[in-house]
Amino acid sequence: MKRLLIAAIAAACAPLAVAQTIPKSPAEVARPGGDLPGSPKIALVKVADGFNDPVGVSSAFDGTGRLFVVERVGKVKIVGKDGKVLPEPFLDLTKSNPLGTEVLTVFVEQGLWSIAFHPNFKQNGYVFASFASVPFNGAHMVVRFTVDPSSPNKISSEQLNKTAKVILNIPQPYYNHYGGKILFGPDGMLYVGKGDAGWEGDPLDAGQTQTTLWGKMLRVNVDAEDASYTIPKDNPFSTASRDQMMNLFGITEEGFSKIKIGMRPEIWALGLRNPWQFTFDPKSGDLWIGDVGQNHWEEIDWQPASSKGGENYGWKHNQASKCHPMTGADDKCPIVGTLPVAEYPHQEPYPGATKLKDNWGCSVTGLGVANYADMKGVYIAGDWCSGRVWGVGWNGSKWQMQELLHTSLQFTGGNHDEDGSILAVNCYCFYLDDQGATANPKGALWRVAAANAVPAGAETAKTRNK
Amino acid sequence: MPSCNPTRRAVWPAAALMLLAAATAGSQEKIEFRHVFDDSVLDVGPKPGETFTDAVRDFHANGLDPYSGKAEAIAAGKVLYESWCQSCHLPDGTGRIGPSLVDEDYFYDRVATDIGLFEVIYAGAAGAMQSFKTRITQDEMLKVIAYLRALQKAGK
Repeated sequence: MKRLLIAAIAAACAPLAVAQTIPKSPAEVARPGGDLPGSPKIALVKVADGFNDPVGVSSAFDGTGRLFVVERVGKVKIVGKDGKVLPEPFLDLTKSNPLGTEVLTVFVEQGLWSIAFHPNFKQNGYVFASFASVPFNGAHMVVRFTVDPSSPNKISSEQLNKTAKVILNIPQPYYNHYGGKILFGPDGMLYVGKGDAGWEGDPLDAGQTQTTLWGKMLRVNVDAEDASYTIPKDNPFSTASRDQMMNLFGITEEGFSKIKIGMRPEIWALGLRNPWQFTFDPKSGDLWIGDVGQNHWEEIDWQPASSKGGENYGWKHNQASKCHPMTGADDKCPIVGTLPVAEYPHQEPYPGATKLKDNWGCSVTGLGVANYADMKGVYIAGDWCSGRVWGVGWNGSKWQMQELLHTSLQFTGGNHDEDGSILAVNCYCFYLDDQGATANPKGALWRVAAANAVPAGAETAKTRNK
Repeated sequence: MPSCNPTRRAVWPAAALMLLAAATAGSQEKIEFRHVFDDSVLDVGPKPGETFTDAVRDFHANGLDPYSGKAEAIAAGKVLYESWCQSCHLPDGTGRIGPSLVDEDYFYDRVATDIGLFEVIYAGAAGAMQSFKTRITQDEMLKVIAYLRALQKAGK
């Protein structure tokens, strides 16, 4: 009874916790320097190394415990439960075509980016690959292959060619900002992160243009026998472009606003610059997007699992909660669409700003959502330049962003393992000194662990003494 | 940010370090180089195919860049800097993706000394500041350092 009474008093005295909400003003957007509830402490434990430019990792969620590391050159390597890397690649797009590789890797943002296993992979053997294509002049391809059950660890060239089914072929005008990650959502739909197709400043106005797939999150149903894919009926713009009789009277302005002729029905969310990595919270189903920023700010977007889609994240009118283009410290502009939940600056947060010593980066690489290591629904993001790792979470009343590690790694991708733990890969591939997709120093596969749960003898990522 | 180990010599002021170097010059004692992140000891042996120059041997012994102030080496360092460093740190060293190399508000305090600067170039630091030990020779690193010191001096 006494214990109950104490509990009741404690509950009454605690600040009223409310469910997380999307910020209504830039002041509500989390920035580095915050405190995550529970003061989590993490370490990066090495799982395997020796990979050529690893840029992604996936689990098949088939109970085998295999991890699939994506090498930019166009190969996928299997890491067994014992941490050993199988010598033969699971998927090899470099030798399947007698005329040469399928995968374009000339620029560091090009290559094989991601593979995703069908939710029923165990039954149907479907695996999907997302890459920049040589034969299609740099187009972004998403292709389905079928694993032969008699050869579960290797898709032979013959099997690859026999089973290839093109899902998407999206032309690309410039060599950067492809996006590239693919992932099945908890709803069984395939989501595709699609960049604004390049240059800088979104010269095509792709983010806001309804007739293009560029600058968007896409959502398609790949369970379509007679087509590459079908449009899920509950996509936000599935019928926005439907032909109809013109009626000028008796329709509300809101009704008119829903007519969007030419709107691509694949669009789930728009106004994105380069959603290089995104992830679903394995527990809640919430969607997190790390949208790579331009010169000054990186953006982290969050959608609750209940979202109906259609969010506009503002690019190129805004990057993060800031104005684009940024001209100084006090730019004034409208906020277009939905604000991010978190953002972090580059070394120079605006043109002419005093350079920051701490809490900055240059390119966000979302890794996953942690529901362990004293964290609940915390999005873990690494940075490609600064080696920092941040956590973004809700403390009951506002969003918080806290630096968890400062490493020497350049993070390129992440995903969840079957047990919900977060996997990350690092690559020694950068804009500078890119010696080619098989010639750069080798990258590694890591697992995010609680700092007090690092297995004895395990190698952890070097972190900066504070 | 000060090192966690207050006795570490790489964070000593440059003047004190020079005195120390002068006191130990001529002895066989070698400088111990450490990683800027966690102070782990660095192996500064030659990379495959690299033959140490006298400048590198002297630097390992006394921690001072013998190319400092030498016009020919500074010119060679400029060429190396333009090839390897300027994309992140900008041609004038003021920094963009990487930090400024020319202001005195050092990102790592130890880069005030040639030893510290060498440690960062040789072994790398955060993220994109990757190790250069397999890319250029230590002699070339000393030339880059000489150029950076000249750049810093010119900016004052």
